[in-house]
Amino acid sequence: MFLVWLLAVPLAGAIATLLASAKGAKVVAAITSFVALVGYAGLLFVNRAGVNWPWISAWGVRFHLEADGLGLFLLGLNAVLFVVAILASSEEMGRVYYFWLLLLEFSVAGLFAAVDLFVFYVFWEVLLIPVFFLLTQWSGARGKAAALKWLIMNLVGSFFLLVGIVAVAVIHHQNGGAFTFEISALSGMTLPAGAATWLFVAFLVAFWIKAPLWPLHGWMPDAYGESPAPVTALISGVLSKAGIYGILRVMMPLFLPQFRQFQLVLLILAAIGLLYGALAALRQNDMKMVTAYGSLSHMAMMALGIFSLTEVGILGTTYYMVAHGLMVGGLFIVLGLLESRTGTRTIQDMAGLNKSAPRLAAYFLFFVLGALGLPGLPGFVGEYMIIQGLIQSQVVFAVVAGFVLVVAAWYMLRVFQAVMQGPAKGSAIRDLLARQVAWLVPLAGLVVFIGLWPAGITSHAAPSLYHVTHFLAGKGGGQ
Amino acid sequence: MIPLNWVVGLGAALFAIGAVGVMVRKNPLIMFMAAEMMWNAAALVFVTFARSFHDMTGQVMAFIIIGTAAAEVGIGLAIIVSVYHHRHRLDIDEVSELKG
Amino acid sequence: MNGALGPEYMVVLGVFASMIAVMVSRQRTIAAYWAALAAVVAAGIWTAALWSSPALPISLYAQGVRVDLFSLAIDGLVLLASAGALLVGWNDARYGADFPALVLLALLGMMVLGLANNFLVLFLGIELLSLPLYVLAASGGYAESREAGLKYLLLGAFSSGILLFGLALLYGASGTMVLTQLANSSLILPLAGAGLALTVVGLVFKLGIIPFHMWVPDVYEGSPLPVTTFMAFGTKVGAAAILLRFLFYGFSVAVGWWEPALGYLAVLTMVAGNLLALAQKDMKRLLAYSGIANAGYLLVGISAHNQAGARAMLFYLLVYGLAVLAAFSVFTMVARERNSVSLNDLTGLARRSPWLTAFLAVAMLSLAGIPLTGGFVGKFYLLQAALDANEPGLAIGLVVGAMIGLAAYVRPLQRAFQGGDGTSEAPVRWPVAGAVVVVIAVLGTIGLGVYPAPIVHIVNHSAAFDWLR
Repeated sequence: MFLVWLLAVPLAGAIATLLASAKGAKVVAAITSFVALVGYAGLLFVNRAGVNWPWISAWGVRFHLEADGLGLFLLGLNAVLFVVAILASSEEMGRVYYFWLLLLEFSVAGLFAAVDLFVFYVFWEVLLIPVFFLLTQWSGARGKAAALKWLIMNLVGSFFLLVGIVAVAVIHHQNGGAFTFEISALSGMTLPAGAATWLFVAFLVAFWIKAPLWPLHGWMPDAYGESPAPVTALISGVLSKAGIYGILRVMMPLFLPQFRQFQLVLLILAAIGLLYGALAALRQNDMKMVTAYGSLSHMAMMALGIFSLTEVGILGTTYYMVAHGLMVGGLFIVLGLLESRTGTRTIQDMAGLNKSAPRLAAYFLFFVLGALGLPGLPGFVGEYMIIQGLIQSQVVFAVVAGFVLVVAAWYMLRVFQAVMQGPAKGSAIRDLLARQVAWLVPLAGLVVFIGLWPAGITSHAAPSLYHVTHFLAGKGGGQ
Repeated sequence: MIPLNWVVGLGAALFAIGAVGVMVRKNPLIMFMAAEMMWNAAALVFVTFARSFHDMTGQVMAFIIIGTAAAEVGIGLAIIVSVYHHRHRLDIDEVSELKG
Repeated sequence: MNGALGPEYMVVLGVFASMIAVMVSRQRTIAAYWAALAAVVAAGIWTAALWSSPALPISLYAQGVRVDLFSLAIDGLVLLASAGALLVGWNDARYGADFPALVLLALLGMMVLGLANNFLVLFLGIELLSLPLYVLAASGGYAESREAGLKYLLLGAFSSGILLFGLALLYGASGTMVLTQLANSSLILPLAGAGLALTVVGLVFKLGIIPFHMWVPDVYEGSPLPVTTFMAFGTKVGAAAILLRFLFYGFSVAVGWWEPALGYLAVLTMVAGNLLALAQKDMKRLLAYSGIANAGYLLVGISAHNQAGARAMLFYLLVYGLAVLAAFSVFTMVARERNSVSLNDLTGLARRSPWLTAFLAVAMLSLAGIPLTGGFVGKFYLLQAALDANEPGLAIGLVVGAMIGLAAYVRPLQRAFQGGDGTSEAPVRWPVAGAVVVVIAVLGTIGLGVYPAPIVHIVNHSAAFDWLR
């Protein structure tokens, strides 16, 4: 029942924030997210039982949640990052801000636990709404446009996903199966040849937009650029994983033959995205946008891992999702702290800040190194596994990925050097406060921990991917 | 006896004249009249078929149509008059506070 | 069985009672509203009592009317619509003393449409629905309202003429006026084809399907707000119910005649209706185009021509109606003594009245089809029906329409959450009756989104057209 806790607590907390006083809302939200984190600890160490309640029995829809190896650590990522993001937000934001944040935590938790397509879709779309309002109301000057772009692009994807989901269920029913949306029941069904390709594309586009992956990342620059740092951290840290997770959770069981058929196209698209993100990051002078495009490149890396269609590549992706979420979330929050102190995001306007703020510089460096994939930190492990998978399937793409790793080091270090090192420019800034260090230390500790012990994640994910990898091996895909 | 087709043809002609009238004329009163003509064309066709089928329901339908048309005229004229009261001219193109 | 028409009798009694109340007091009186509301409640209770009657379905008057679970479901929907309209316009001096009686008369027409089984009753239902609405549309006492009444009258009479002539031709082609006998009769072809086409055109005119929609935006905009509410919900229910019954009972054999045509109309309506809604600044016009687009969604259920389609249409009518009730009652409160709400009036509403904004958000998101609101479940059901009928084109049209519609529905919300200009910062006043409507409608919308199973169960029973797939 800890899984229900993970959903119920943020939902109840969201309502509680509305009733709290304007100043007290942050406290309520922080307590709520912490209680949810405790619930996650219970899920991880005590009892991982899911729930399977009837919902709309006439359509075979069941409220079915499971915490298996695929979603388990993403649920943890969700719980951790929300605590950090709420602590990093200011009290001035008002109670509605915290209401939307907790509603977002609720819907993301539901998404990562759903194993029924209907339930998955409900959470998939519900999470658009809090982000939409967060972007509308608590963002920069172009926040409204960013919000509309976010909503419309994502909904274009989700509506086709909706048709796809219903079509899969109806086809399963017409082929003589029960009317159900259960992923495990639908997996491996034979789709009519013509429909299969269309359905594959319908599903893929939705996940492709959410991730986002090139060339469907149109909403990303505005949303990342305009949103407040904690929200950016959540979008890039948690929400972007929803797209990759959807490909793994929903598409892999349903569309394995199509993945094999279109593998080359998918790999090429992802590789272009990988290069595009890295090169675009190099050209940016806004440190937040460097990270944003860097993140776009990393998402493409995860996609490459999946499309390698090898066990090690897919496992690498499941691991890299969690690692990247923690690191990029931390990086965006540190950038937010930096921005609130200097009042600018342009690299050229800052220099030598490590003199006045050594602790901030240290955490900045830590997350930068994590993002560029320094051995010992989790980014390296994930990228290594993905490249290994690519070598097994298509070596060319491993070379591209290796090249991009070099570029990644370049653009991340370029930011760090410009901002932190060199002769100090402008007035000195305040270093991190003790209470800010208090939640950055555990976050950094967690990053180091999963970097040192990747098997803790991959050993759980492997069994959940069993039937996928088994299928791949059986047909000679994994060599 | 007049052949069935002729009478139905007459009904269709009346209906077409009425429909064209509604679409072409500008005066609400005339438009309303044309619409009533469409109703009466239908009533005529009902009666015709009822006679050829020796079935009373068609005749009843014609009566109902006539009765309803009377009610409609009562309401319609009231509305038209109230519009006229406030404008003192009747032209549907001038009744255009609402940009349709 | 005598009790089968009980709900209708109750409404007739309510009409008399509220007219007598006005006559006795010689002016507008709240007693007329109470009498009307009591009649609606009594009819609702009677409908609920009939639901489990073992005698159903009951055919009366030489098969002229057919009381079955479908007609009872329609009764429930239109009773809800009229209760909502009565409460939104509760005791409002602007709409004249006859407002409650006229609403009940139109309600009676909608109920008759739900149980019509021959041409005579069908026609009577349409006219009983339309005539009071002409008056109501013109009852606002200002120029736009009279103009709306006039336009409604002229196009209503025109479309009734088309419908009647179609029915006459069908009568000639088949020799019967009873819908259930139509399917078994041998049809004379050209006559039946023309008759069917004209009848369907007449009915989709009432439903507001593009390209027969031109009256809808003007009439919605000009009519007083409670009347618009009633038209948006109730008329749609009545027209959709009779279209479904006419086609499913009378022409479920000759499917090829109407199914493709209605499918194309549905797609056209969903896409174009939502596109037109995008450009609207006046909220009543926005909801008018939204009503057109939603009529397209309803048509998906009809042209899918399977049991799931009929069920989905019934379910969608309820969720659409609840969303419309919520949105219109919020607009009525915001409009106060004026009769329209523009985008500008909504600016800063979130700060003036946060709860009202939240209710409006639920209604709009439901119309847009976001999960955890009824609108999503309704669209989901329609998608199932369309795909089950092997009509992927309908499904694609539906989601494309929904996508475009979303942008239209989100714009007022963004305005509401924007900072206001500081001129009208006072919170919006809540009349009790309007508050009841909006709270019930919002709770219903969320309830249908979170746990739709009971209503799904009800519509599954009521649309039991078991000769379909």
